[in-house]
Amino acid sequence: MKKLHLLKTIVDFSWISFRLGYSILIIFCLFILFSKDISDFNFTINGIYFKKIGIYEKILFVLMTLVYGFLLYTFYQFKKLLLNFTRRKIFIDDTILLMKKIGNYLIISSFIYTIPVFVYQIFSKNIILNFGLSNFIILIGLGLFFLVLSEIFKISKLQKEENELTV
Amino acid sequence: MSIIVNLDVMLAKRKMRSMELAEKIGISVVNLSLLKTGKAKAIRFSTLEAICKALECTPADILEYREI
Repeated sequence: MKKLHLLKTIVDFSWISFRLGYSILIIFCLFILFSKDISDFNFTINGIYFKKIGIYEKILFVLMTLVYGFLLYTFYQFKKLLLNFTRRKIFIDDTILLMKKIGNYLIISSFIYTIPVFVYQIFSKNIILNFGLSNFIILIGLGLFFLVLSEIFKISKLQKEENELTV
Repeated sequence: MSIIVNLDVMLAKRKMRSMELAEKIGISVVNLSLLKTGKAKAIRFSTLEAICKALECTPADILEYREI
C-alpha cells in the first residue's frame, strides 16, 4: 500500500504545518481583538474585504478562527483514520465512527462558517455571490461523501463478519 | 437460530474426533467448532458434501430444523 503511505506522509507533514499556521492565526486573532487602533490596516480574508475593524468584524474573525480550529480537529480525525488503514484496521467500528465524525464535522463547520459571513456581507452591503464551486459546496460535498463512506463501510463490516462465519 | 447442527451426534456415532474430521474435509478446527456450536452463519455446499462423505451420512443427519 505505497499510495497509502505516501498519503499518510503528506497528511502528517500537512498536520505539522497547519498546527503552526493555526498558532500564528491565534496570535493574529488576539492582536486584532486587543489592539486599540488598527484602523490603518485593511484585511481581505477568504474574499471578504474588511475596510475597518469594528466589533462585528472582531466577532466574525473570532468565529472564523474557531471554525478553522474545528476544521483542524477534523483533519486530525482524518489522520487517525489513515493510521487505522496503515495498521490494516479497515472494517472495524472505530473506522466507521471516525468517518461519520469527519462527515458531520465538515457539514457543521461549513454552516458555522458560511452563515455569519453571509449575514456580515448583508449588513456591510457587500454581497459576494459565488455560483461556482464555493467553499460551502465543497465542504458539504466532502462531508456527505464521508457519511456515505461510513455507511458503505458498515455494510462491508457486516458482510465480512458473515463471510468469516461461513464454513 | 432455528437450524440445529447435530455434528456432535454424528461424530460420536462414527467414533471420530473433531480434529480428525477437520483434517479429512480440509477446514480448520476453529471453523468446525463454529459449526458445532451453532455460531456459523452459513455453510457452503462443498463443505456439507465433504462432511457427509467423511461421516457417511446425509445432510438430514447433520442439519435439523426446529421451530423456536
